[in-house]
Amino acid sequence: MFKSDFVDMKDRLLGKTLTARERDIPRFCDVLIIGGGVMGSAIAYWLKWRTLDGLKVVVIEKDSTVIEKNPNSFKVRSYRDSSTTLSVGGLRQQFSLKENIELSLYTADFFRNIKEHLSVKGGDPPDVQFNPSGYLFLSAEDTAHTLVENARLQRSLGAKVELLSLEKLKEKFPWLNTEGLFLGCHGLENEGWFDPWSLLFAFKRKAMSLGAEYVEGEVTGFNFKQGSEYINQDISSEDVKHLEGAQVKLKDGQTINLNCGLMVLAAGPQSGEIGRLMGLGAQNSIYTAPIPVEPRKRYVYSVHCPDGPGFSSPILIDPSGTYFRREGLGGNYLCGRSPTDEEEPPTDNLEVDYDFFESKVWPILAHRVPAFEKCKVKSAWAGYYDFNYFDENAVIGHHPGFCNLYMATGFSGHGIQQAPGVGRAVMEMLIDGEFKTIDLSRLSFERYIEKIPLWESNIV
Amino acid sequence: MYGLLSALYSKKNQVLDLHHYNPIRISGFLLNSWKTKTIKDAELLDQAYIPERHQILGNDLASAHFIVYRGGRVKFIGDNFWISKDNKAKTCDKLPNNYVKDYYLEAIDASGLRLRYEGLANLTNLSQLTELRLRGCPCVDDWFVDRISGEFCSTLEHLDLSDCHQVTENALSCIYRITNLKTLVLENIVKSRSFEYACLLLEDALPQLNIIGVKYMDVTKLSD
Repeated sequence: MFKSDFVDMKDRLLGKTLTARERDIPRFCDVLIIGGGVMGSAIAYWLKWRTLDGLKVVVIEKDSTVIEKNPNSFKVRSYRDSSTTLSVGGLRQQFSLKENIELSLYTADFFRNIKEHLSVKGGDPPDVQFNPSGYLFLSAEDTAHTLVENARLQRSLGAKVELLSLEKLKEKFPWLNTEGLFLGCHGLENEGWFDPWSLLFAFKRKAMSLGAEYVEGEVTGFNFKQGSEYINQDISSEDVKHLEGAQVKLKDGQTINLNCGLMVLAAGPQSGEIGRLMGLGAQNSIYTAPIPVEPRKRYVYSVHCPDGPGFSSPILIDPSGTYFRREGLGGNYLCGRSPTDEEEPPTDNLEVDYDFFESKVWPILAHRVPAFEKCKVKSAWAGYYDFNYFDENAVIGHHPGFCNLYMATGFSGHGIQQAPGVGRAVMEMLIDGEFKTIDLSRLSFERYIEKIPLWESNIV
Repeated sequence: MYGLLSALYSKKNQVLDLHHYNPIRISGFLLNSWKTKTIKDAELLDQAYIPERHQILGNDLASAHFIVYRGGRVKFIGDNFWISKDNKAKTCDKLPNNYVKDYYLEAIDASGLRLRYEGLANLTNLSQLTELRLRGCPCVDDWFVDRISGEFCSTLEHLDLSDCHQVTENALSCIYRITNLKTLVLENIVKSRSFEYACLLLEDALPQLNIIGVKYMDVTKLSD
């Protein structure tokens, strides 16, 4: 575990001079986290919070941050393709699974006390710019019963939601066209949107100040060790491999071996690809079960509509999955929609398809809120969902193929709002060996092996 | 507990002896954070939700007791006077000590109290509350306003958030929930142009609402 320290000591005793380059990049660590987005940073933060100097935590990020701090401007050029920074940053409790609701409630609590959690000595206290506007889920008659069941579950777990009939909807939101609707579910507390970049920055800054190390580079391969010390008598040691470390291609082109005790995969949309690098998905056996995560491109359009509902509007989710929210004060709105399986766009680049807005998003939006008939697309961007194609839900837990591989991925678009809770859960899993705060055992990888999906009905 | 996969590793050996590697480091920052945490814990204990209080007194009287015994004032429907406690007196005689039927809170004045978000658990199900004054409460922030807007969404008519310096313009996006809100007092906290503009937009979106205390930019000066 403290091999790196011994190597350092040995080098010093033998009088070897270490070059600055070698000192900068760690070669050994206890926990290696792949992915330095908000999930990886949250895991690193919680691990360091719990253990301080007890564990050496290294985070590998492909596209790490370059912060240019001038007296006049503050420029950040990085995390270019990261799902974290391209997300819309919503926080809601209106889920259909107990785990997701609990995680979001925990996040609200964490954000409320974020100054105590993520303040750094000598730095400004973090502020995630939370806008408590609430969510309004609308449903047609055929899906209304799910909404009622979900609201009952959410209330039993402590979330505050109210169900609104058509009359109430008309009365509360006069700008809404209620045609084809049956019921609405309106969140009264702890729901809204926040600034994903501020959250990522706060987590990363705190993790680094507690001693986590960030390495900028790309994982190109893995080193394996056959067998494991954790072996059980029922499983032969040939079946289970042990990850010895990762081969990391640094920014300057050099490839190093980074050895680790435990590995946590939090690479978001690229998790499935990294799983293939480990050799997962090659054979049909549970030890090489693939990580069921793939990137899916989602567009976000920023439209200008001066007559829109403005301050009287929550984040609205249409039965079709189309959403919009206010952005800033200048009459701008962010909107988007998840495409169906047939019209899924290619994921090799982040180009925006403007026709998708014209043909799929705008008609629904203008139908639901007539004020949007006169709206104009100002800009748009695309980001990746870490889409779990098995059941659109998070995979948190252990992989059977490697006895030291843990996963926290596949959040299918709601990862950023669950990062504080998931980071803590992964920390508890690694250190205590069980979940203490929130029981996430239903989200483990087991359900993929047993082929029992755990569906979340409120995916947007 | 992970079911089947837990067979792959042992649980017992995973708990590390962490204190060994973490000697206590004393620094000003740590002492300061320890001090603020102690103060906060004491306040949270003081404002904790006590179920017995609500069981004995009913929601409205229990909330009145909670506010009055922490230095605030309350007003009941039908009364035309505020009830408060003298500094020297130990008890407040005007407040009944057992449940009274049809005795509803009309207004709460918690000005200057260190009322915390967690303390709001004591102010629930106040079915007739129309006025809430939180002038100069140092702990009132956006999350606090969010909670109020959900809790009193159908009854509240007058809300005073003056001098609550933690409240930002983000809090305005939840005001729409309070459907009957007529006056919102924001004295001394609107300091930026964007906050002013947000107030203007909010007044635009909610026709019945009147925001007091915002000095909008004087347009007549521009033409000069």
